[in-house]
Amino acid sequence: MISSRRGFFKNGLLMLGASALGLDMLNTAYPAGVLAETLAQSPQNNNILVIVQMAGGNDGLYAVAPYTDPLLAQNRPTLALSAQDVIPLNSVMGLNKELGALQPLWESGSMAVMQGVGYPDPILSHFQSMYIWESLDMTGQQGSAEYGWLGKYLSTLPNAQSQPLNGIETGNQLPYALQAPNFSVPAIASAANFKLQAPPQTSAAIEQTRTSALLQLYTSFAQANPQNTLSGLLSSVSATTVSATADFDKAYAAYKPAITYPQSTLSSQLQIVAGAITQNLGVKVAYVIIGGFDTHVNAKETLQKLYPELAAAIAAFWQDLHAHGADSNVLMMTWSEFGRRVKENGGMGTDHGTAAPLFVFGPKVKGGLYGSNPDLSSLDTNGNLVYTTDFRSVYATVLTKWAQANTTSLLGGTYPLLNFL
Amino acid sequence: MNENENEHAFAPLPQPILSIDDSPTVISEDSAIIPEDITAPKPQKKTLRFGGRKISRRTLLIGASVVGLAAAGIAGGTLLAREQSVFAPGANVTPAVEANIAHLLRRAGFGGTQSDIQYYGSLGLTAAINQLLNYETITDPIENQLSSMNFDFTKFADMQRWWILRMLYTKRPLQEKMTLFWHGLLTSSAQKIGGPKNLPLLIQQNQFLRAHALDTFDNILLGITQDPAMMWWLDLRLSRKNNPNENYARELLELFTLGVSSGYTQDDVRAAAFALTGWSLRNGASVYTPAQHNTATQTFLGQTGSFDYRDIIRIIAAHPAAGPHLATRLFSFFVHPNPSAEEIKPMVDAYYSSGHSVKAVMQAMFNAPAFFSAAAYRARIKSPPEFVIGSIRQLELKTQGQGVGGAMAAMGQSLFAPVNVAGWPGDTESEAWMNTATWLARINLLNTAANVPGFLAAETGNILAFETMTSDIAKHNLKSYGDFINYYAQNFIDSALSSERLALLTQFLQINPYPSALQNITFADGTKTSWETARNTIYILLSGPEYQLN
Repeated sequence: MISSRRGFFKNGLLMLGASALGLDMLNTAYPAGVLAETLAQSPQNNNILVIVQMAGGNDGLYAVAPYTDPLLAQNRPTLALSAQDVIPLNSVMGLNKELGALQPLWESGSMAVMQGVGYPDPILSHFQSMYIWESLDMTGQQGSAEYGWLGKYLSTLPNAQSQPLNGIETGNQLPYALQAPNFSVPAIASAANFKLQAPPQTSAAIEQTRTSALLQLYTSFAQANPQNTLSGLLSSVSATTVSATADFDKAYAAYKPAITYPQSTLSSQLQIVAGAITQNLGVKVAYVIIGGFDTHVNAKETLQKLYPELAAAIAAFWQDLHAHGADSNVLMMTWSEFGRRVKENGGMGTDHGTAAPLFVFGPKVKGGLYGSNPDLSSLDTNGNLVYTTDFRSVYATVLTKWAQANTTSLLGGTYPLLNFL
Repeated sequence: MNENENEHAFAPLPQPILSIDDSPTVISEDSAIIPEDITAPKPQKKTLRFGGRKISRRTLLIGASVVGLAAAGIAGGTLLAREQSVFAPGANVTPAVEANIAHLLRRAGFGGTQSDIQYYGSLGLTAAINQLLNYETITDPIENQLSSMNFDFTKFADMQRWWILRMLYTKRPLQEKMTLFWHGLLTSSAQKIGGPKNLPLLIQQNQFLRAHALDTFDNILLGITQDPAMMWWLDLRLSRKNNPNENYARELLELFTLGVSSGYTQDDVRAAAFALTGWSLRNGASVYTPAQHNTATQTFLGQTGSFDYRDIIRIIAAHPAAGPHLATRLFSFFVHPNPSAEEIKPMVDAYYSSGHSVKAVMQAMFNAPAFFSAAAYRARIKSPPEFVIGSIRQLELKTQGQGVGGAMAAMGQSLFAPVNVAGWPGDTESEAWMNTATWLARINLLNTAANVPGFLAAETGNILAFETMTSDIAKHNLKSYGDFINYYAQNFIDSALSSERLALLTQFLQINPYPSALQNITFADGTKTSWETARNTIYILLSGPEYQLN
């Protein structure tokens, strides 16, 4: 339960010395958590994983369409793509031209499309389905699992306790996927503001004294109030922040984007990630979120804006990394909690569905179209697609072939590996 | 109480408020939260009188042995026992009462000033709760003051500021807190409202939620179902008779009323979607057209009939899962997360025995032992409004609200722009308010408050005006570094610091990190410090763990 996650913070902090936690001590502050001990340690490699969450449930049939299938137009008066709307991926499947900025990645063989990704007994609730994807707790009972799959992975890295920028997220809401035992993954909502502001005209030594006093208030509070389940979280967040900002601030300031990023929230987020990667800040997992995919009405209008924004931001990110010579050890994967209903509703949109394609990018990816094409003639009782690839196989492939992690202990089972890597 | 009792409830809105610069304050994500063009309001003279019979907390605590009080379990506030004497009116406002009142005001509102705590403390807890709950009896001049300010509700910054000024200066704190609760549960967003011209619909929704904050759940649901902003947000405006969309129907069941584990099925969602058809928007107003309503027989949550939206609301509100779900949401927001069935039982009972009255549910919540229990004390991370509004109020800064909405957004809550259809996760699981980004936003705001002149308020200029500080020192006979720190610790975090933790701040006060500054504060014991150092000591105190907790 959640309470035991708090327990990690609490127990972890009880092991700290009362007065020892000065600024110089932060990097050794975290003891190994109980869970981390049960997970096999991951080896050190330099591979980086970037996750792009498309929140709201992306309409897979509108992103990668079986554009020759007559059932598509029958079901979707306004949301069926035909030949002129797509970049053909093969003779029957096509990428929506609104995602056209991805075409160079596709053509250079650094883009894989994994079709029909979902899970058994799909749940049509955003929040239960997101929770399933992020925690791998297939019951969907939110809060039952303690940690997210990426948080667990980060906890198995050899330097998990000393390197706060192993994982970064670029918003101010930490996703469940990054909930980790015994540390708080840094959330960098703004690169410019990811620093402790100091009073003007103050020497660095005095500023450190102020910060050190503050941090010690946190550790002593956690020690004196073990019954307060939030005291450990507060102590962990304050220590991580001081440590992570110190690592991030100066190094990031030296980052010069090689291209002009488009104006969008996702672009800004990916630019932070590109900066952290090119400046060698030790990032192993970076996480960005783009919302707005819950297209119950007027889907075409909404996606005409969202898809170009998504594609342009991703394209810019890869151009920037490539220009810096920093792309060879980077892999990017998109995901969304579900696809959408095959049949369009009366509001020119679609309701919650199930399986959908996801994208994987990177110079090491074996580009191409994977998995079975969507079968519009064989739907489930709710009129939704039947999944053909379990998302845990995608995770297993990434963890095994890219991160070289002990996948079975992280995912709690074995899943067939796929060929996009 | 005297005729002016309503005046005491919360600090008055500064006057005059007409001279304000109404140009929108654009807060980008990267910009510092330092409005530079604030027209300073003239502060009203304080007219608060508490009579001579009360022993002030300051006298009690600063004069008495802090260690002794802590040993008695009072100063630490770890045990908020609901003793009979605590509830009796007219009792002295003792530290035990103060800790309870401070807790109550943090939960039922946005934190109390010293004046508020004295005022509500003098009523006794029971009367304080009743006054907070029966807010319709309190005249709130905020309405007239705001209406004279010419807000442009097609501007997002104006919308936020309008609500923020309410939170800051209302005399009905529980009404604002309930409105914030409903905004998180029955949420809608500026992100999907059909463009800036329709933003005023969110103010309309906000006013509906405020006006009906303690109404029956049925009335609240009937209102929100036909609310134009909600129709934009969850698409009911485009749900067609024979081919409805499921968005509102699903979230009504899953998020608003019954919860995902209550046993409803996809067939129930579908049935509700059909039954809820008939609505559309015309010129910004919701219109119900019976001819556009699907009258087919539906089976919904075990009942069968030709249902319309009224039937759906009636069946949902009476459902066995509705009371527990609402009670759990309220309890998590106002008391502590993850309540047990036993803890919410008084609220659930009140729900069903009162005809689904939210006021009855809230009354049961405030009067249940759980509310003042040790398990509830500091059991939630402060939400961004609790932190920001609470800080401004407790520091008695006079602000017209520019920049405050942006500050809250950086902390994870942009009013009128929820994270998603489930509102803000911190409302139920308060841990979600706390991560590196939001913690930085909090302490950097306090750094600005402590060090940048003109922050939020030209009048005071800083976290504590020099005159305020020196006057506190004289008035409360603060003779030493320790007296000084613990005086503010009592005010801001309910309790004095342990000697070990006090030493951390004392050390900071005495190193005087601002050698260029005058040693312009001298305590009676001969020790000195500077105003700058003292302000940054308050920064440390407010940036510390206790102040992040509610």
